[in-house]
Amino acid sequence: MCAKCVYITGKGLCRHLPDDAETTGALRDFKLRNIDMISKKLLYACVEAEQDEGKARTGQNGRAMFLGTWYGPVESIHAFDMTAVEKGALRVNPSLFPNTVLNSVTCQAGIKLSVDGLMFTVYNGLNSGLDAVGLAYCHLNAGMMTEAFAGATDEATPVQQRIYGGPEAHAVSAVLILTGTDEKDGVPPHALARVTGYKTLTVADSTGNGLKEAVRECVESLGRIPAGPVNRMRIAISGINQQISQREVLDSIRYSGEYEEDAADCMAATGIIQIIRSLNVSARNRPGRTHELLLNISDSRVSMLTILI
Amino acid sequence: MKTVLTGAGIVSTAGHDLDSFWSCLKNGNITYGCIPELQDDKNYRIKICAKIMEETWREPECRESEYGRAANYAVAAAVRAIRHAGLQKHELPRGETAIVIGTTMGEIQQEEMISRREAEGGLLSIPDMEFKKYDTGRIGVAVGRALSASGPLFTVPAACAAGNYAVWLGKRLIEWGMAQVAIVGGVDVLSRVAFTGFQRLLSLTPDLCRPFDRNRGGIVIGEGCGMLVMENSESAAARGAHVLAEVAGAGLASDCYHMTSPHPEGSGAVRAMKQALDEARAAPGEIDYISAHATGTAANDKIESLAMRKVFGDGKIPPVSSIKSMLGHSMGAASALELVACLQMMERGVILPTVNYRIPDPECPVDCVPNIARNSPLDCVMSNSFAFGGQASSVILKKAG
Repeated sequence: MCAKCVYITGKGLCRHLPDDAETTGALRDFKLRNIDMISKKLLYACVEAEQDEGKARTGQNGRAMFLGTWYGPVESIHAFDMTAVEKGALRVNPSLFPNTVLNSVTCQAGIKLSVDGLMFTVYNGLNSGLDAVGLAYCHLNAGMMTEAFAGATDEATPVQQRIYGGPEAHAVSAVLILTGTDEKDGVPPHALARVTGYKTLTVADSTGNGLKEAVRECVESLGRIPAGPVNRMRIAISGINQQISQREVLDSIRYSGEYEEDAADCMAATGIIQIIRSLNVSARNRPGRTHELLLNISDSRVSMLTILI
Repeated sequence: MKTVLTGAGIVSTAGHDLDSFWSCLKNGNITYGCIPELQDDKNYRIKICAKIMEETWREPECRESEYGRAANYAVAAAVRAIRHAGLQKHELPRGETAIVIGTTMGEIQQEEMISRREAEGGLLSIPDMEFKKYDTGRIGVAVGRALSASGPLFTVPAACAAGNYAVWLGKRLIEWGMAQVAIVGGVDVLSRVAFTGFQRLLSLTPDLCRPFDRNRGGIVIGEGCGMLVMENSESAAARGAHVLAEVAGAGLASDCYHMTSPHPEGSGAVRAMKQALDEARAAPGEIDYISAHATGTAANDKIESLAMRKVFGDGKIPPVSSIKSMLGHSMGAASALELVACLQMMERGVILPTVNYRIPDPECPVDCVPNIARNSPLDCVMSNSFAFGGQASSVILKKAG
């Protein structure tokens, strides 16, 4: 099977669900009883991405969904269990039980959006969003589907904050629509960028040296990607127990080009926020093409995505 | 290039080594019952679940001070899997050993402990490390560190189909050249949240799990872990590995219908099975046996039977059985444990039974291998799992050689 070209054809964000989202806004056509807030925010971001793409959709069409999340529906799980603990197991609302499984957010949004292809949920910490995009890219590149939502979401809660153990993070839902095409068909009309490569490595050695080695391996894999030299980088490093600095990353790969360090404060959505920022910057400021490398580094993981804008 | 399975490791209520697991299931032994902590608890009308009662499942690599129970189950099973595959840790390809683990509830026992202690003394009374252990992503990280492995790592919850989803992704990572070896599987620990939820959905059986039986009354909640070593066939051959089976095909699809109820026409299940058959280049008639999802609920078993009829044809469904009748439903571990059982069935030419079967259900017209194991050569088997959220999966294994 020939490799496909994979393009970003839509983007959507939800930081706070608008008050009118369910009544007159983007979610007005959905029945959302017993859907939790994190799922609604993801759904909102997906709808925004569809509107950004400007492509009419009807019914099921083999679309896939890849969702990254660090903590998942942590509030729904905790609320459900606290009811059982404080009031007794027979007092829980059974309609809320489906919100307690770790794939619920993906599936709640996927069902509403008529996603009948495969749905993957990825729990890879900070890297989850970038990894979701990467997995979507790999599947589209291999011709396994032609369209996919690739998104990330998290919620900021007291339990989440204790797991995170760092400065307060922002709860964002961010979604891209990826489309795969044959090279002969040219660039889709709504293409914002082309995804050109993805690599992820988790290493047993999570010290600075281990991570630097992982970064080098990821970047060297670029040589196997039919793209071109990178002329811009964005790096997000998890701020907790940081084993490696941005400077060390750049020195380890002898990169001296343009770069930007992004705060790793949007949890799993960090990587997708980086992509959206790059798309927005390029739309406003940049003539010509930018080949950008996005890196997420956390704990023992390095994830890298390259895009051509 | 094919994708092959070369090793398996388990943590289960039927034992933690492959021989005990096989012996227990072949003899039709039930591994669940009333557990003491529920006996006098008026909040729970159902008292039955499949709980690992003893603590002999551990391996030296387990780290309970750093990781939750689910992660430690996964570590133990993964260590046993690579041992079974004849691999030493230093032989795992550097940068190209993928780890893909599925789960339904993750480190849910950590959450349950946090809730209990919050109710007693507030969140601040709970040490930081107990929260760190709750992080689902650390399940895969724990396995990676235990094996000193490096490569792509994904923790991929997909409810009851999690193990099959991990197998799908491990297979793709090998096909895409991102890994030479993939250690894949599914894990879940016994969950009060799940037990509470299924009880309120009236989905729990009060006594026995009876897949396909007319009087089936629901599921038995369980726990466990199944891990498999998957390799590129060429590298497996190069190191002289004993190949257990080829992962010939896999199919994933979504019902696109409801979070807890299956599609009334079995839409996702049918598409997943057909995808797997297409990829395996197998006609339905070549499937010698189906390991069913068959949880023992009224809805699932009926819809699953309908889906099988649509794919295989009326009267042409191969023998089907469900080891959930003996193990209970180990949630995210179920599909992985069922694949391990399939490997053993293929090796021995014996189909494991569906026990507790007494009365046929006309809505489930399948040969469910009732109550007693059956000798039968098995060259090509299908293993299905259908999950919350409508996530459907089907994996086809072919005998090696």
